Amino acid sequence: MDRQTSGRAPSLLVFLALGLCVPPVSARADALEQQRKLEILSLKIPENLDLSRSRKGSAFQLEYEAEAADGKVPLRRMHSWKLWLRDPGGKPVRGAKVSFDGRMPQHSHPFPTLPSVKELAPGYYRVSGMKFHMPGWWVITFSVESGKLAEEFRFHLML
Amino acid sequence: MVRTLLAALLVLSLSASASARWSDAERRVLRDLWIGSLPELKPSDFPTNPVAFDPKARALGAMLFHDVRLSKDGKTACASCHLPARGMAGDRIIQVPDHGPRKAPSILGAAWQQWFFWDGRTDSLWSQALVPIEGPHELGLTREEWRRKVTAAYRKEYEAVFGRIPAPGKAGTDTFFANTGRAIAAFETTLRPAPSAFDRYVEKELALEPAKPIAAVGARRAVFTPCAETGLKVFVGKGRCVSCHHGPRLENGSFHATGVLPASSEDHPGGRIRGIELARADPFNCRGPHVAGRKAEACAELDHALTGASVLGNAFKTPTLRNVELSAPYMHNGKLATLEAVVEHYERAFAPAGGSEILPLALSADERAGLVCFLKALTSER
Repeated sequence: MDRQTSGRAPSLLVFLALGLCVPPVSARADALEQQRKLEILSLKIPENLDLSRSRKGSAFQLEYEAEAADGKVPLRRMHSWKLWLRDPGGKPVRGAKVSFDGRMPQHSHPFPTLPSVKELAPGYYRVSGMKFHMPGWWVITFSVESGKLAEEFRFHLML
Repeated sequence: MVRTLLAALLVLSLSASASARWSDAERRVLRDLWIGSLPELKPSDFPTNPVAFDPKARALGAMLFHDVRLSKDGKTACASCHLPARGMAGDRIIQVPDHGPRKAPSILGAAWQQWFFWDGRTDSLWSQALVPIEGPHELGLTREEWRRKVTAAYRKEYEAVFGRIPAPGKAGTDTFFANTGRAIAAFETTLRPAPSAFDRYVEKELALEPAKPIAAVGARRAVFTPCAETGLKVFVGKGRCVSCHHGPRLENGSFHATGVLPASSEDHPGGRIRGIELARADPFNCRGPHVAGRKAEACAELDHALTGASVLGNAFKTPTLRNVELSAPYMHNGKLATLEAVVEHYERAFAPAGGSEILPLALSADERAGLVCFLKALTSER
């Protein structure tokens, strides 16, 4: 993934390198933290981002659907996702441990809620407590474990 | 014929210039910010308040909201800190024990919110309404005193909505207390922002049917100036304001650390971390004993609230920007006196200890002035 270096980097480096007016350690840490955030913000959204709702891995297949009237993932609204977990042959995978992670690659804050995953029927799981509080590029990762098999699935969303 | 042709050309050139001003993506954002995008409220939006749409509850709530007799000093009501001239926000800073200096936010459109107070320490409009009743700096009554005063003044109105006044004792008093909060919240659902100059601009740009209410002839109708248009460009573009201030209320129902310095040594920094602890401990929350017949999903906000992220310690709720012109001073503690100071705050993005999410902006003087013009164009027609 491309990273763009912000135009502020040289001025910060010059400032630090000159040491003419060396700020206290905490101020330097803050400046570096701010620099790190600027770099995150300038991350480019990859071209041809795969926005599809299903993934095929080597151990499992995973598909999601937002529980919304129009099927679209909503902004600012608490909702749930349905997940279908299948093996490569298409058979439902029951009793898997499915954990959630969500973030915005261009921002430093965590996912705004703590979603939980529960199996409702063989291979059919529900993710409760989903809420997207900012427009932009989101990456949702589900880690699936079943028996000795484990696999991660990453979904991209543009809201 | 010539006149028709000229008119057609004028329409074409106007629509061409409108589309040149805004890309398709920006037009989607404008539509999202437009007041006409506010969803209709429905009973399921208030799963713990069955009287939210009851006209009698709303009438009782209006009386409780405005009646200064229902306070320790006989001079204070909810209406004392939520003033129509201030867009239903406060005009003063209140010293809230264990929290510090706090500015009463606007409650126009609060019915669309999920969390209340700057730190989100209550999870419903009705449980929020209860806190100032007992606040020593606000109405300053005990629950028993509140019950006696309300019963003396509004027994008939209460019983018409909720049935007989509960028997004395803690359980009955708490039930009575919760019910009066529900009546106040029912009234508050009627407090909604009206369209602004910005909304009329969006309607024109996107050829939308005007949102209601339409202001009466002679009412204040602000003009969306070129300065405001410059500000809107910055707001949805390089200013990144729309990252958090989006949707028709220009807020995202979430909590962000924006580097606002404490206003005094009593200004408690707990932010959202403390807010969610308090919300979970609130006996009047969604999971509390005063909610009957809740459905499985009714408490999703409380059940799935984020905890443990250190940046939340400096985080406060994103406020609505509608009518922001009327509601100075700004930020949770009233630290910034003017909209110009707010814009400067976000441009410099000073990061105090404990972290901040905002980053510096490089705005020209015209762009800064434009943002202020745009914010003033969010004032409701009246």
